[in-house]
Amino acid sequence: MKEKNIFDVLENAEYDSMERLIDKCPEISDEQLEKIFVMSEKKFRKQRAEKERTKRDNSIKMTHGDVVEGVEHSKRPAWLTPLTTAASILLIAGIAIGSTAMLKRHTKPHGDGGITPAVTVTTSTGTGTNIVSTDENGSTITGTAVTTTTTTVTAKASDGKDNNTEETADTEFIKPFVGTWRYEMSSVNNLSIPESADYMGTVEITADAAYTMTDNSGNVTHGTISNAVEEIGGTRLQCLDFSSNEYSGTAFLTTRAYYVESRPYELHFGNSNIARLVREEHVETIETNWKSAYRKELVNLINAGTVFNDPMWDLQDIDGDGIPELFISSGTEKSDYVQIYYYENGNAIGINNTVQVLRFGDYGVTQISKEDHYIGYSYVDNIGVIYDLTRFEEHYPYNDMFIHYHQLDDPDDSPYGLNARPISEEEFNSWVSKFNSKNWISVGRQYYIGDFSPLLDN
Amino acid sequence: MTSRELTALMKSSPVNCHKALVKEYGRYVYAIVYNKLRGCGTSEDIEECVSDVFAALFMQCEYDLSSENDLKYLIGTIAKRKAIDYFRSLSARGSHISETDEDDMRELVSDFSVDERVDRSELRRVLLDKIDELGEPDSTILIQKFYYNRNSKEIAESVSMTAAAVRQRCARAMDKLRTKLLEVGMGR
Repeated sequence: MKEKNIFDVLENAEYDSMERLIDKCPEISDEQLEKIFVMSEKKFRKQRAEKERTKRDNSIKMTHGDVVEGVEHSKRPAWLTPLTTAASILLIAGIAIGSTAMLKRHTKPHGDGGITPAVTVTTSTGTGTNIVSTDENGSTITGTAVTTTTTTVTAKASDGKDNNTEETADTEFIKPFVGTWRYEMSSVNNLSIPESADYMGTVEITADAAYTMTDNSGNVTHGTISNAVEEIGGTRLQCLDFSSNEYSGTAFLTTRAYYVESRPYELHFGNSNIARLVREEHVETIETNWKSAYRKELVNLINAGTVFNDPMWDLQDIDGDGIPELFISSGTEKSDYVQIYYYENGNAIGINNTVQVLRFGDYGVTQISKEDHYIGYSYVDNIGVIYDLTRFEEHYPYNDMFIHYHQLDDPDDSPYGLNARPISEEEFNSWVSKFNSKNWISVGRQYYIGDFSPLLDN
Repeated sequence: MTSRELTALMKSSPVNCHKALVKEYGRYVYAIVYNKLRGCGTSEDIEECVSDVFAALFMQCEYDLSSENDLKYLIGTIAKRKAIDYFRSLSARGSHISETDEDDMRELVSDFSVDERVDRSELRRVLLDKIDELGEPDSTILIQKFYYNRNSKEIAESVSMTAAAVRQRCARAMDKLRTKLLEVGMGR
């Protein structure tokens, strides 16, 4: 532990003492100044870019008659169109001939019920072309399409009767679910918060009750799906059980997914509302308003990890515009504070004086006076008794700080200051009276982090 | 540099203007930030805070600089506010400055017992007065050694002496300071 050093009393110096310490400050080397310059310039450019972006976002207003210009023109070789047309015609013709040959074989049974040789049906799912064909000897005819996954089902050698009906019945349950789905997981374990849904991968469900999942890192997992039904409270629920063939890639939250008729675009995993499959074509409509902006801010806070020791949040309308401000409290220690966000143009913006985002209060709470739109708090530290009074109007904080110093470097100095300028005792007292006349309420810690209920429409 | 000069320089070359600001006020900002963070931050924390102050100042120059502003006062205010913000967050994290001074001079100053009841402001003024009474270069050596935590070699460069001479003067100056403080009833 650091030993008590009499020179420590020089910390928190004000006025004359500070000037004397500045005089004796060692010279900063050119290298160190250059380093500070580079760091400052980098931070400045980042802040400026952020500010410009916000400004730009706020100034974009499209009206009905606006035309988008400046779209880049792409050039394609002239011979490409006839070539791709010819290739398509060939491909379609191949499929037609192959299908006809197969149908002919099925409509002409082999004589008097003789034994049909074992047949292998190969289903390939790839670039959008399926090729299903065998010749009379049971050999597979391969097409030119590129395939990415293959599931093989081998039918038993039959006595001439058609096995096709039985196979179709086995995979009948999957028909309503065939197609492309997005796999989504909530970063806050609650998919009711649409801002928290993270895209995890794309799932292709095919008619043979198989699936292929390509996760957002590009890993591909294959598996099969089986039919299941659960009865909950007298209601029968259609379920799909996913069984992976591999141990790599992203696994689903649970193996069983549930289908509910009221949400035909969704298959949800388990009952916890954490993960789901959503049809690719389904677009979630999220209304942009102050609730969505504040939800997004809280989701970002949760995803940022342990930034604060014991955060909580609150909603209060300081400026009386009918839209409450969002309060995020960092914890309950003396040094904890509240950051306040207001809603503007679809975004939650921290109250700032154009230079920095302001922090209010101590012990993680601050006071507000709704009637006259003030934020205020006072505290005592080793400098003196400090009052911070901010009028929040038109989304700008008009701040006054007045202090009764209990240490003075020069006995002739006034022990009272307003915005770092000396003032008389009378003036200071009038500011204190103004502060005390407010109808303060203490705010900042009404809701737990993870409780989004005040920000949901229902 | 006045705000008007700064505005003119900003118009001709913002980057040169930023460099000029760091060069002219770097030591001033450093001293203010150091004063607040000395007890709770590392030298990296102090550098981070100083660069934050200048980034905020550059933003102010870019968007909100009035030619009526007293530039030094403005910089001092930004520096104090940023340093207090850093102090709050560093105190919350409970980090402490690490003592790296290699020699044993620190023992000399730990002999003092600071009576917490004594008004710190008065104590600060008396201490600085007594240090000043030692004259140069002793006063600079003591402040740089025990307040700014510079080692003897670094101080030697700033006062144009050898490191050995700095150590010797430092020990004698500390003895003298102890006596002077005892005379006014400080220390034991």
